[in-house]
Amino acid sequence: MTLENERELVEAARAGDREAFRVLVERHQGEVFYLALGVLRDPDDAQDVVQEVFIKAYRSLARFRGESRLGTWLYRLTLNACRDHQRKGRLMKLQHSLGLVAEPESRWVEERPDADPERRTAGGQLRQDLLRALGKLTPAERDTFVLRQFNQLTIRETARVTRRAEGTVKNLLFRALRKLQKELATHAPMEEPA
Amino acid sequence: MKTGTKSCRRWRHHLVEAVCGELTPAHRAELESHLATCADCRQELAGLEETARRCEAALPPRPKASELDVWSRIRPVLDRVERPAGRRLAGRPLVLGYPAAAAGAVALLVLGLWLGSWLGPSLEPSPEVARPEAAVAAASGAELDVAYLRYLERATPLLLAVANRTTGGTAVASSSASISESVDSTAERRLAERLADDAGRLRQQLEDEGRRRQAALVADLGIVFLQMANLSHHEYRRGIELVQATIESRALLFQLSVEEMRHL
Repeated sequence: MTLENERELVEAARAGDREAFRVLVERHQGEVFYLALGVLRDPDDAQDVVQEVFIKAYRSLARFRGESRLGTWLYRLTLNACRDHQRKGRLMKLQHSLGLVAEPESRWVEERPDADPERRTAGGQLRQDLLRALGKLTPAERDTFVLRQFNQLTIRETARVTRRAEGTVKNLLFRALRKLQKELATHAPMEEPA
Repeated sequence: MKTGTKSCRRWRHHLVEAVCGELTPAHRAELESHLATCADCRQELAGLEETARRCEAALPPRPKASELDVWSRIRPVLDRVERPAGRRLAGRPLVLGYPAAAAGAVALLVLGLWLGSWLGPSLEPSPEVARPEAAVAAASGAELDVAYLRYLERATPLLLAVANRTTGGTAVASSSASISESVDSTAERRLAERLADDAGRLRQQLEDEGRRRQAALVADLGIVFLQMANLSHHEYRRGIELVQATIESRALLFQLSVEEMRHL
């Protein structure tokens, strides 16, 4: 999709063309989901966030000035939505620790203690290790790493989305990679899928 | 791994650019020249590249569009955004508890629309047309001020009621009159749920307008109300102590007092 084509779709959606908005959703839903998955590390939470993001985008389309690409704006909405989601999650965990609510069952199958070990494929173990290691990063490091590594944004694009200087982005990536290197090295050597 | 030397720290940006495949020709030449003489940086670069490679191999598979199907999930919600059913979008009824005044307002509205149909083409958008901007028409400038203050007005009574409640512990706010224990927890939880939902939307609008202080206060209030909304019926009394602790730790009553003074 060319930039001009995207601008036309945004203008049409803003004017009330639902079909245009549907096209924009289908174009960007994958990347939004992938970002949310990397930040939240839970596919169901990521699915919830994706829906929230596009509902917010629909409501706020008038506010999108077009100075950046739509994808940049959507990524920002996604990071904000992920933060809100994490805040609610911390609240639930706190309430669970006080016995006020039952702990929700983990949706990430491989994390369940009773999960069938044979289901743990090599690829699954690798992924688990990565997702667990991502939890050790600071939010800023994780956001930056996921945008760069999951969503394949350039350093400059990552800086635009996160509204940071490129030098800051490089520092964050450096720290993230170093921490991941340390975390992944403390687990069993990963066997990559054939 | 020793990378604490001054020169090595200076090369970290180049190392990251190398791992990301974004080295400019000039930076590449500089880095290669440095790596020829620095074993630590060579080792660092190898470690970072290996980590990046392992992470890439470990990435979850990208979802298929059919698996996500976001459009079919959000379409019913968007329908409600387009055609508010009385309590959506522009706001909840402004005059809860004043049915006679509300009925009068509706009658005036109907009369006005009928007269308008005689005067000329309606300026109201056709209901078939989706108007995303209508959803946020009230969310800027002076209207956002009103929405913010109205939210605080709605939130304060519940917050005070909870803060003043004695549950066997010490009430957060000192008050000579403690609230009766026979409180309707269901009604409170429902109200808290609505206030938590509204806090989420209002906070986003405030942040978008750059009003960070106000957004932070609304976010804190949202957390408190979310706590209340998630309490189970049987553990309500004990859970309120947790809510009171949150109110105290975030100094919410103080913040509300400050806001009240600002807007006098």
